[in-house]
Amino acid sequence: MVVVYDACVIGAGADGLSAAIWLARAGLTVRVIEPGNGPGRCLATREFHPGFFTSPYQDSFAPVPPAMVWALGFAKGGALMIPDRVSTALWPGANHIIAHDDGSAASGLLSRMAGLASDAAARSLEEGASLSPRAGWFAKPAIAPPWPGEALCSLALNEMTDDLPAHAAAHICALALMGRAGDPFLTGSALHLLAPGAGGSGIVIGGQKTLADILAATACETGVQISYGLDVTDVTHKNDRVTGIVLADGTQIAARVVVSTLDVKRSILSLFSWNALPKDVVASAGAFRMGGGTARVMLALDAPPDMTHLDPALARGPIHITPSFETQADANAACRAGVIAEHLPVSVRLASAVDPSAAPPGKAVITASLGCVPFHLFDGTWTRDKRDILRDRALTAIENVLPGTKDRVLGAEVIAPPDIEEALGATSGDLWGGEIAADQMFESRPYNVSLMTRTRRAPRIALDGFYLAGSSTIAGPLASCVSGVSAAQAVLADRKAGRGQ
Amino acid sequence: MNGVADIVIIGGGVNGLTAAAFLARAGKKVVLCEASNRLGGIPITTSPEKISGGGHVLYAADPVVIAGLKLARHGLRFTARDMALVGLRRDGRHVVLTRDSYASARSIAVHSQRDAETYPVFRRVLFELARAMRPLWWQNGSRGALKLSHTQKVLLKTLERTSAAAWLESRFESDALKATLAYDATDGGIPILDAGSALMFVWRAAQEMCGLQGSSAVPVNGRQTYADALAKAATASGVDLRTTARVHRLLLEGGAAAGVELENGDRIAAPLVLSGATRFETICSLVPEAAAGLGETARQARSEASVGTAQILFTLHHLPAFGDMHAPHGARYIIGEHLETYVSAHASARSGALPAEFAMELVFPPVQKMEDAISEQPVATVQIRPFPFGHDTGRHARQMLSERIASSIDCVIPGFALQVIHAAVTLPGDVTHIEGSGAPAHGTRMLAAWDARIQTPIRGLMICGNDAEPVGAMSGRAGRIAAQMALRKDNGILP
Amino acid sequence: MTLGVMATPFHMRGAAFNRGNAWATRNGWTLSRVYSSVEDEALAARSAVVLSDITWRWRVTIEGAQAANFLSRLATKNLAELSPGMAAKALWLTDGGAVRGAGLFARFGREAFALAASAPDTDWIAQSAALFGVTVRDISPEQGGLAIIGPYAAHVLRAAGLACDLAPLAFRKLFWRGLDITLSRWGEHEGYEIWCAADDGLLVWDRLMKAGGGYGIVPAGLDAMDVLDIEAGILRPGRDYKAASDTHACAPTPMSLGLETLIDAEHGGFNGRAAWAATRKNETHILAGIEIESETPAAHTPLQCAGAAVGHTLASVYSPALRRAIALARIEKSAAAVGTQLSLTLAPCAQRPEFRTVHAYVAEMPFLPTPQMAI
Repeated sequence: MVVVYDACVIGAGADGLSAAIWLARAGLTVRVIEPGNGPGRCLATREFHPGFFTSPYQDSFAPVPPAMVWALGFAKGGALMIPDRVSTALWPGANHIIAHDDGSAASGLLSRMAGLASDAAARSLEEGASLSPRAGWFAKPAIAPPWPGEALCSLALNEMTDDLPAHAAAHICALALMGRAGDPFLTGSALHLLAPGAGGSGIVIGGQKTLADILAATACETGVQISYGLDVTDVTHKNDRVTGIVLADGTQIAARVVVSTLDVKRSILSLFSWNALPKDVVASAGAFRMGGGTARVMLALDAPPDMTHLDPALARGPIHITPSFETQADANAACRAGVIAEHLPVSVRLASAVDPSAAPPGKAVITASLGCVPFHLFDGTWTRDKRDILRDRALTAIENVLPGTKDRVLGAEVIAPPDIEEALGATSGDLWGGEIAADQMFESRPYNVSLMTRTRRAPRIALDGFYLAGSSTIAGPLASCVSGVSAAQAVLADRKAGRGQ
Repeated sequence: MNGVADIVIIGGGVNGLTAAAFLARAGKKVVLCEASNRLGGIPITTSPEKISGGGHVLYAADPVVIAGLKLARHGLRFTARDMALVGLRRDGRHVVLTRDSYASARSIAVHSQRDAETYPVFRRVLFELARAMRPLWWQNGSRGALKLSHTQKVLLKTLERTSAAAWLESRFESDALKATLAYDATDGGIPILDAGSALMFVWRAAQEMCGLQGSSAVPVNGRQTYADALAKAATASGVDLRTTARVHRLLLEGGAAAGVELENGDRIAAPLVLSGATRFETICSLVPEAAAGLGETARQARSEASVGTAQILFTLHHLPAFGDMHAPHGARYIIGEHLETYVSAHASARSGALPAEFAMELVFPPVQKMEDAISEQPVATVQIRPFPFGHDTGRHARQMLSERIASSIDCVIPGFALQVIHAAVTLPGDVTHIEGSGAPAHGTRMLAAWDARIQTPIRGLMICGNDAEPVGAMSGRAGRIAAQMALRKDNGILP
Repeated sequence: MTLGVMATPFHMRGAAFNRGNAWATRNGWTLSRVYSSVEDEALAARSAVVLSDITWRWRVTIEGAQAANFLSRLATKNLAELSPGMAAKALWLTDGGAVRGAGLFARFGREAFALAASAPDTDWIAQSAALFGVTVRDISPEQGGLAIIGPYAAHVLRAAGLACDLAPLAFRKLFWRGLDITLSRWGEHEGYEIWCAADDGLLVWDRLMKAGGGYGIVPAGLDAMDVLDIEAGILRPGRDYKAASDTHACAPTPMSLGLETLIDAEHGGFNGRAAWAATRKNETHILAGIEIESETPAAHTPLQCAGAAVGHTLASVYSPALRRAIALARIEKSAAAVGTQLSLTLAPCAQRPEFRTVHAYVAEMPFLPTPQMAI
């Protein structure tokens, strides 16, 4: 007998697992297929040097709406999520600190932005569930009430910050663009303030893996089947309806609904044969630009860096190394040309200060996020030497403001953009599912409901039963878990309306 | 010598002259004060030959100004109009884009069949929108009053958010076409990655719809002719034109403009002052004691133009022959290999450095009519943008620059460098302070009503220069609309 | 900068007197909220003398050849006419005529001024000053400030060996038994302020407490000072209103905050003047003082007049001198005449677990006359 699942979720990241939990709670039979060996995807934590652990891809999570903390089992599982209360920018001989509630204009700006991001995420959740007819993938931005934060589309980061003192402005710029490629002088760059890295993100006690483990446990409790180590290569469909998925080994799994948490390019361009989909959907997916530019350097140190001149509480937040608008803009131009810039934007976190178990007693782990690192190099592929250049540039930058750190390094691992693509399947190594630009945010991001296109006459369902969640959706860069729940709600709304049976 | 007038106009640039002429024709007493000794605002290089390096092409001529002020009677003639856009490629496969989009498509097909099919559609969509945008750009309309279909509203909103680079990338695949079209998007100093820079294509399409000289045209004897014709029109309508009369500051009375004080101490009283200077210059330097509001003045003081345009006038032995081009006069030749050329040029220009690779436009103005050339030699005008402000203005640096440019041109027009007899370089800093390049173009600015760009917080002070245009251009349109606003009965400033 | 406690120069002494360990943060400084009892401290300021830490007030120096011109443009009074050694209270407005801040401008010399205010606005003032080539420097961390308030304030100073023949709003730099201090009479309440270098803080505190021993001097915390402020009808940004921060903001207007007395209508060129003059006639609400016939304060509570809503209260406290609750309120002009009967509903509390409607009436402001200092 062939088992037909009600829903099949591709990817066991935060979004995929949230979607699975939500669907299973509603009584659906759900199967999650994950290519990796454990849950979490970019939340995963691993040992990069004997005895030293850290999350290779990101240090902080985008906020989870309070209403979901209980529903997804975080509260029950004991996950302690702490918003980033402090951020530091260091220059040789100078520093600037933004604390969560210090009453400064900079911290006011950040909390306003965090508010906008969570409002926008809430609205995307609302619209996903209501399934209005204009909601479709790449639905052309209609004349709808403006989204919270939409005004940022016509602002550049330097305009947003031009009434702040120079140090505060450069600090905000670094916070907004942390680990991403972007030019703060360009109109629309203010949108980066909405994505995590800025105001609303936070750290998890015990490492981010805790979140993934709790989600996976909650999913199992609700009856979700999770299979690890399996690659999905195709989505099968018949008469414009999804019928299931095909794995790399040829196994077919039948499902009435497929929720993909892969980015939009991968979801559309690699899970389907192109001529099976409407031309404009394929064209839109093709034209969707990926951003990325993220590289990471994980450092195992035999002692914490010398930060005696700073408040110890600062070690819990991100530390931006010598940020400046010009460095960021130049590095971005270099990145577009496929060159590793001489001065890369570097932000570090003392991972072991937050989670002492990350390193053996007395030792320390630093993770550095580098922005504006090209995915394609103009002079060939990412070799070992190129990765060493990244490590050295990061170390030089750190050494400049925290002298003595270089000598304490026991081991290092570099993660270049192609490594992120390979490990997580994120096209161009973009963890945010698409370049953050004015024409790729809010309604211009693919909607997370069923794959529809709008023709001149009426909405036509091209392929029923395929849903997108994950980083490429509206809520993707704004909040954690929201896009998964949103997709799940859309699935349930569609079932109620008689579709997807 | 003190005086009294209805209106004082600061700066005798194209817009100042246009405003003066229109206001004087309406029977007002107009005094125009120009700081330098010549009108037109077009820079003259310091070279001994006194060659006008200001370029020859008019990009956005306003048919209403030309017809309304009867400029043809005052000596305005065009030698080339409706110029083709030619992308010069290193591989010799040049792209020729003319008004005939099917002929253009044939030229594009050499590079990409798909692009050739898309191009006519691309143009049609832009032209439809551009037609709908005319009340906003050519008249004193507002965005809300535009008659747009739903599709056009959606398109406008999309373009407002989209960068020129993304718009081109999502439609075309060949570098040749993308890089050629991108040059026009950099007009006004907007980076092609800026959200909203895609609107520049609509702007250009709108220009093309303004008659044959709308998009690009070469007046006989260069752009100076245009200014001269305007000056004659202004004089004929009774404007009191004063050269070498630099305005020192604005006079205020009870928070409203009351006239100007010249640098020589003369005062001219007038209830209305139109400034052809940039908004920055006007608010921060001409208005005393931050009278436009402390917040507004501080905001202006922070917004300075970051990139500009450089121009070089090459005098040549012979016109170079290249490709199968037989009539090089009627075209604008774009040199820029990829979209990335513009991106990295802009990034270097902003940080004050010369780009590794330049993007430029080359024009061969018809030679027999050029009075200001040294002799009857053919000439070529090159416009380079984006170009950094604050580049070394010394003689040696200029020479180096012209040599670099000549050799860049040599890559696409072999033998060009050998033909050069002399080069006159105009850098962004040479432009007189009155007709400076002003604030960079910006999507929000392009879609704002004229009121927002022309009015200032000070009653009786209006901006009528480049900064009042949706995109900075020597069109005179800002002057015309500012004059229209000044004459409006309901503003109650003029008797 | 530190993320921990930002202690004032008098912190050690304050901590010693702070019996309930009640602290609050204001402008980043950590200060005692209550030392022993709010009522006692507030009454002491009316009957004896109190010492209050006012280091939290934001202070900048404004210096440059154009400083007088700049401040005349910035502030709503003509400060160019201010003579050195004197100070004036004034507002500064946005381009749109809204209140950005209210503070005290003191003139030290021809080209040197200082500004003291309840809430900081350094960035905006520095940016505006740059247009005039004037420099602005925040001196709050370098100086400590103590206010000596009450009828016997002058006696205490004399006992401490300080000459105190200052006119209201005047100030003087003095050399006081080895310490450089500035003595001023800038406060809203009858009394003096002493500004000293941060290092000298404890010495100054000790000298004053010792000199005041015979007059019953006690330290007063932030809560008691709030009571005094509200009794005097003084609003504080952040508590009673949100100061405008946007360049073109047009609210809150000076009239709605009852601050128009700080505007010199004869002074022509101050920033935001045109917008202020244009909008003031449209103002519907003004600031008024309300006495409530109850002992329970009612902050931010709707007010009714003959059944119609006419506005709401702002900050509210129990006034030990009046033996009833008082409040500042924003009410419609029509209901703002002194003596107008109003009513408001008090929320339930532990002692009275039900909603109660009580009477209130518009009182004359300030609620209490400022006590005259005994000289």
